[in-house]
Amino acid sequence: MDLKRHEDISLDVAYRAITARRRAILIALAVGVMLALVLDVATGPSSLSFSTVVHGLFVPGALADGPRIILWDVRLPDALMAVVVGAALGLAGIEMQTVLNNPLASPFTLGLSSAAALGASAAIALQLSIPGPFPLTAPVFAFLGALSAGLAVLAFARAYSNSVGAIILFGIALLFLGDALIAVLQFVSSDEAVRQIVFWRLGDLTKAGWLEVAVVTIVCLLILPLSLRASSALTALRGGEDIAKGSGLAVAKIRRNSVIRISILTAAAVSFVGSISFIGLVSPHIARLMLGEDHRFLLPGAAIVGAVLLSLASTLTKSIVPGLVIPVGIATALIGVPVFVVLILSQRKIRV
Amino acid sequence: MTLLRARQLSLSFGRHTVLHDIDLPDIGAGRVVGLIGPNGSGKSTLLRALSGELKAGGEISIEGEAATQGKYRSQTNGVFYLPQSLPQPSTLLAFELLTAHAEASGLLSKQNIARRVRAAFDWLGILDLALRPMSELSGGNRQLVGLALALVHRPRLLLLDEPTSALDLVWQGRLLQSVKRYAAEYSGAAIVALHDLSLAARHCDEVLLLSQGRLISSGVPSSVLNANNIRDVYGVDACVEQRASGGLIIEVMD
Repeated sequence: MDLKRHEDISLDVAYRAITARRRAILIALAVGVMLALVLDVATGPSSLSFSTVVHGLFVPGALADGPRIILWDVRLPDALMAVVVGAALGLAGIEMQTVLNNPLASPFTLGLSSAAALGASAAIALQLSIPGPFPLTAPVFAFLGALSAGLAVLAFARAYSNSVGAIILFGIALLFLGDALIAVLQFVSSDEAVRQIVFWRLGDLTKAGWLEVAVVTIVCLLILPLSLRASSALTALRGGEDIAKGSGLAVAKIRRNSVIRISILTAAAVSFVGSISFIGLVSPHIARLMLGEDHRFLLPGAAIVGAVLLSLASTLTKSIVPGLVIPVGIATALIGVPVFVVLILSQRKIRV
Repeated sequence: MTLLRARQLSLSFGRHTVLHDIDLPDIGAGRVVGLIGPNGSGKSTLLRALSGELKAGGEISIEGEAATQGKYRSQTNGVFYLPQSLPQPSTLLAFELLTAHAEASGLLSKQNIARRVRAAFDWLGILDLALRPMSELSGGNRQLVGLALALVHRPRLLLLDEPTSALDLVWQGRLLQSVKRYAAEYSGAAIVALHDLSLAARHCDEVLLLSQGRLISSGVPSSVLNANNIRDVYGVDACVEQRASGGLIIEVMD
């Protein structure tokens, strides 16, 4: 009896140590976001010294007009956009990998980003508009596109008993379909519409202003608590779908709600900065390695890792060619393809 | 007291009828019932119908209350169906898997969950697996974690689909003993699909023999598991020898 009591207590103590370590890792990651953000703000074509930047962040009035505009109206919104879009994609990626039980899933690889871009492009090309004080048309159509693709993937996954390979192939088919339809829209559109559509296909942070930053931030702040509320259900799914069903969880409903959250996050990211690959795919893997699979830690962890990665990618795009800012979507795509291949190759060895 | 009453259960997938008007004998508290029959005889389907996952024709009542069919009712009616598939390997710790399932069901308080999860590992004597990642556990150990998961909610009716398929000789018996002890202590009952007839004979109070979706025979193991029934259902000749211990030795003749 005493021995048993002892084991009980040691289990609690040991698990508490594990959660304490994970909390510390989350805090360290959050500090990492702040550092990446400052680095991103301090990098750019116009040469502002690091100390000027840091001083100007805390005391904007101390700067001359030129540097102040560069810092506060150009660099800071772009850098914040990288953080919030990265977080949205990281969170969407982890939810997607969990509900589809598929380590290769992400909004980009399964065609949701492409469908969101298609929705936004259709709104532009067909000159649709939703009346109101805010420019909501593109985001709403992007959401409808992403949601349609998400539900299609879900239906396919159910019909083909969640085969990892089959789902990825279906997602790639959706991606091709989205791209083909966007090409059709471009073919029939005016020059101005084509120019705008091209923007959606290249993820680009530099067009973000404070309003866009605010919208994506609000979306993230609304969705993250909803995701966290589902965290135990999502964690339970990691034991396998059959087991979850047997224990009475409404698996179909958990998945559907998750796909709605994923679509909102993807639409928010794609509407304002275009398609960005790699972040949604890789952030969950990095977060899993650091934090394990309890989604109470993994969901915020994947969001924060996504924020750090996109922030670093943004810094990188300003550093490669002096004086030139490469669209961040191009950079993440170039880095993302080899990583995707490595993940595919590693599938035989590790099961995620 | 009757825990499970099921009458005239029938179920079809399209034109293919899987269960034909099955009347189960009433199953009382404390009983461990073996469900045996060849591959494809409808064992899993019957368990899934009893769990409410599949909607079957007929009547099912649990502790005297009619059960809603076609709807997972394990959480509310105290039924747990543990499928044949093992919990999948992942970096999730076994302890986290059980905790997450208990939390997701929303039926237990936080303090209760911690205590129940610990007790479930303890009940099976596998506390040492609790803090290990599922991907590092052997198939047999993952199967044991699956059973621990089933015990967290203290279901009245445990429906176990081949729970010994990945276990070694010692653990097969030990698992069924644990289930028996559980049924006695929590006045529950278990229906356990098994392929090993000797194992069923040794550990089950009653057995149900299923063939092509029909209940062929039911009762105490020694009456059901005879050479005639085995020939009818499996199509092989077998030599059945009753042991003094109450067990049966069943040898299939070539």
